Amino acid sequence: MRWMSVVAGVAFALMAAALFMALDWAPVAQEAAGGLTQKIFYFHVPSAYVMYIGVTACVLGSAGYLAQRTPGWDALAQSGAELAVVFAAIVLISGPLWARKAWGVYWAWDPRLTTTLLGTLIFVAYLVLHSTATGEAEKKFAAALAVMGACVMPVIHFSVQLWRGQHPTVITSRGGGLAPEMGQTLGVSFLAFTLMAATLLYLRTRIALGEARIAELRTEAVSLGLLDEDHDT
Amino acid sequence: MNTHASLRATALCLALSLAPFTAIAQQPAPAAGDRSMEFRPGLGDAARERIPGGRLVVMAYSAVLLVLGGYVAFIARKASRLEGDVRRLEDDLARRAPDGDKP
Repeated sequence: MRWMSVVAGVAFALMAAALFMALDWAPVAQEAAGGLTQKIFYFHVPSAYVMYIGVTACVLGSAGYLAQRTPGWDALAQSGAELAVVFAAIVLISGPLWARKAWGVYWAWDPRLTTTLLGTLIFVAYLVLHSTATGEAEKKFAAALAVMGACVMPVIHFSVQLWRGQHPTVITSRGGGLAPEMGQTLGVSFLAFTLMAATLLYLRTRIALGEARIAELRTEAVSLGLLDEDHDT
Repeated sequence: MNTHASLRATALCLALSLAPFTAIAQQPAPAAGDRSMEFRPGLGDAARERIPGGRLVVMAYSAVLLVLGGYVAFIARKASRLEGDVRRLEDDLARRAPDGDKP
């Protein structure tokens, strides 16, 4: 756990540095990109990237659970889905605030915005289903939903190239790139978000695994007659 | 669903996820630099937008920190509840254990 405290500390320091660099150091972009509002970009894009990390963890966990039915895979899937939904919420809050200045509206039914919303709702559905699951069948159904829901992720990522909506591309090979200070700020932000995602995913998975183990031990103790089902729960 | 059926379903989903790549391969590539920071006008009235950019930035960063802080608090609460559950289970087992087995 000590190394995790170090990672968490580094993530916190990098997050503070990214905040300072985004708000103070990086230059203000052109008016067409929102001017000062473009500074939202430095947390908006890494949040979307962490959303992909969360979905990947959820899909790996779900596929592993469908294959092996072990609580470890289930805990990873649940933690990944939570991470994906939390960071998708950040994307869906920060994006419209930027769009208000750059596009003049908070929301447009643009392909990337719409598919991101759809993907988020799929993983919210997974979490609801998983939290109400009382047996293995429901958990298997939730895992299958997560694996199938992940199909929307490549669509989110490539929707801008596929359907040319309002949403810009900046850091792909087809984009025009960033000024050096903007690129460095984004790099620090990516690093901070990656470490933070790793910390949150690790802690949440351990807690979910601990909860599953406690429930298992309690059931075992009841079956051995060491505890009463009614009073000792 | 048995293991083979699960693996087949996973393979099918992975295959479906490759569909966008096929679609991209059929799209004509835009000119280099064509899409850098591109915001196409015409949705709202961005030119006449009077909300100060600074206020939107502060709102966005506040929301980010609030959501992250909320999730960290949620994890901390879960961890403390887990510790409580472990302690309760230990107490329950100690109460039920024969005197000789008590620590």
